[in-house]
Amino acid sequence: MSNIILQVENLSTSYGRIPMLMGVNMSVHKGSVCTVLGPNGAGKSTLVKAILGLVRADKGKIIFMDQDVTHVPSHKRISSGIHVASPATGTFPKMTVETNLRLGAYNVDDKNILEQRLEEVFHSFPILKNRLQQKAGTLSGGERTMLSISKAIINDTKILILDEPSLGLAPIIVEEVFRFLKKLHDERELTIMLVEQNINKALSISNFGYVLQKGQIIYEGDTSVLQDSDILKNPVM
Amino acid sequence: MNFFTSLVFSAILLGCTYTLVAIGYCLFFGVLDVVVFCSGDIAIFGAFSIISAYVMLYDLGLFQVLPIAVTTMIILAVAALLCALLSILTYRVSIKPFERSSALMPLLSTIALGTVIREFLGLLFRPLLMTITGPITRVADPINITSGRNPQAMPKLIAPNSSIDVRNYIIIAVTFLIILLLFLFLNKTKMGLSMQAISQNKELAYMNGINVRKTINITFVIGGIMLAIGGFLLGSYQSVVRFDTGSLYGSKGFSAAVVGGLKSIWGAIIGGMLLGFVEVFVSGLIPGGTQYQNIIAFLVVIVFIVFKPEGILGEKVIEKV
Ligand SMILES: Nc1ncnc2c1ncn2[C@@H]1O[C@H](COP(=O)(O)OP(=O)(O)OP(=O)(O)O)[C@@H](O)[C@H]1O
Ligand SMILES: [Mg+2]
Repeated sequence: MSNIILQVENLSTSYGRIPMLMGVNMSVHKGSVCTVLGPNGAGKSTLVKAILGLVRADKGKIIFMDQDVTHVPSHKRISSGIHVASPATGTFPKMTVETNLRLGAYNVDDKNILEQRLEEVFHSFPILKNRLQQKAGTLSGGERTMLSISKAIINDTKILILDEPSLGLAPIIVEEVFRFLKKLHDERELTIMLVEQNINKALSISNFGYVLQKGQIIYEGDTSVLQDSDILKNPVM
Repeated sequence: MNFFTSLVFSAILLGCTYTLVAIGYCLFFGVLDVVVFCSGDIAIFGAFSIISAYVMLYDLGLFQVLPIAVTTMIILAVAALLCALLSILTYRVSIKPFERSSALMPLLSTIALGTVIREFLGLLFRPLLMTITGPITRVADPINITSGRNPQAMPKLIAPNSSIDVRNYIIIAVTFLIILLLFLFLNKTKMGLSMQAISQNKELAYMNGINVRKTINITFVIGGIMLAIGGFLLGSYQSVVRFDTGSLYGSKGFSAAVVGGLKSIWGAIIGGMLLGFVEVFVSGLIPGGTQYQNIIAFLVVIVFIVFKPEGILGEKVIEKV
């Protein structure tokens, strides 16, 4: 088995007739934290959706754990270990926390395993345990983010993809979320792919970075190099 | 029963039949954001399935052999199965192929499919006429039957030897039981919760790993069964069914669903009851009102849409800036 857990090869997608991603290549190494940066409308969320199978690939391949999943339906990709948390919209507001967790565990059939993983969630986020019967929509932004990330623990997640976890959160909560992500990564050697606009926070926890612009990767490199690169000083970023 | 209570009673009865179709619309709209316009026709198809199954069991002589409860269960199961199949077929043929096209396409194609179902029922049920009370009479020359080939008598499956009142109580009880079961299903089972999840946010449902395709198919099975029961109750209430009542029945159910908010089962119940009450009270209290009951029912719907476009239990659509 190779060291690369997720590989995107020459991926192109379009919305109707308008091309969006154009020949995107990227590889995420097992156990790494990889970040994707880029201005609004660059196609970051589209890339995430394509990896999940919510946006169809016109060209190219998506390879997850040495399997070509380009034509595999979304729910199978997720049950095989891809988990996306998009905290801004990642919970069902009208449902209780408990129901949200249950839906997040859609593919976990073994009751004992589910119980055990729920315990892990409550261990990491004690708050959730007290709020099981509360509607997710009434949680604070930070709590909702935690709920959406905790679904990664419930599933046997191999790669956690986050689409702008810091969006709409107070800086102090952002700190907390990133501290938690770091902990998840360190304790479980969880691979994380992080899509962010908060460049500094993203770079602070990642090893490798890509910069996406107008549907194309315009830069890739180690975070240490990317940090000082001119590309981030570009006013559009 | 005095006049007023009997009106209330009839209103609830009619409301029950509308509610079931309205729930069908809700379920379909919930998972697909598509209005399945042939829902009423699927329900009437259910009523005709009951007639066919009844005749078939009669021809086979099974009524003499089996207890009435068993034959009734067989007949209802056949109707539920056929409606579930037709409902799935509706999804496969007239909705799924247009997934990527404009929302108008499934609207048009389900209207067209509704016409096909209607005409099919009209053609198929030509040579057979059943008297209400008993043995089946086959009529050789359908042209001589006034009002053509339809209506057909609905077999009395519900308490055949009891009074109409008892039968009607049972219709109401069955509706409540079905709705209760639906609520349990929606809130207690994984499949039911997945249906709600898709209805609230489809993309997020995908992200949760929900098998959306499977859930949609099962929604159509359940919706088809609800419609079969709706057709059964409507037929039992009216004692006769006609092949072409599906479109009016469907628009009533749709109106009830819209008045209720389109995505809410409670809304569908309230909307269905409201429509039942308006119709029955107009025809019961206004002299000659029967002629106007449909007009007034739809006027009430229009007034509702004007003043509460999101429906009684629907959510206000707030334009985001
Ligand atoms: N469903 C859609 N249909 C048509 N166009 C879309 C659709 N979704 C996104 N787009 C367009 O594709 C482009 C890229 O969108 P995307 O959401 O991938 O950008 P992004 O990099 O995530 O931006 P942001 O930082 O604002 O989240 C945008 O111009 C957007 O308007
Ligand atoms: Mg985005």
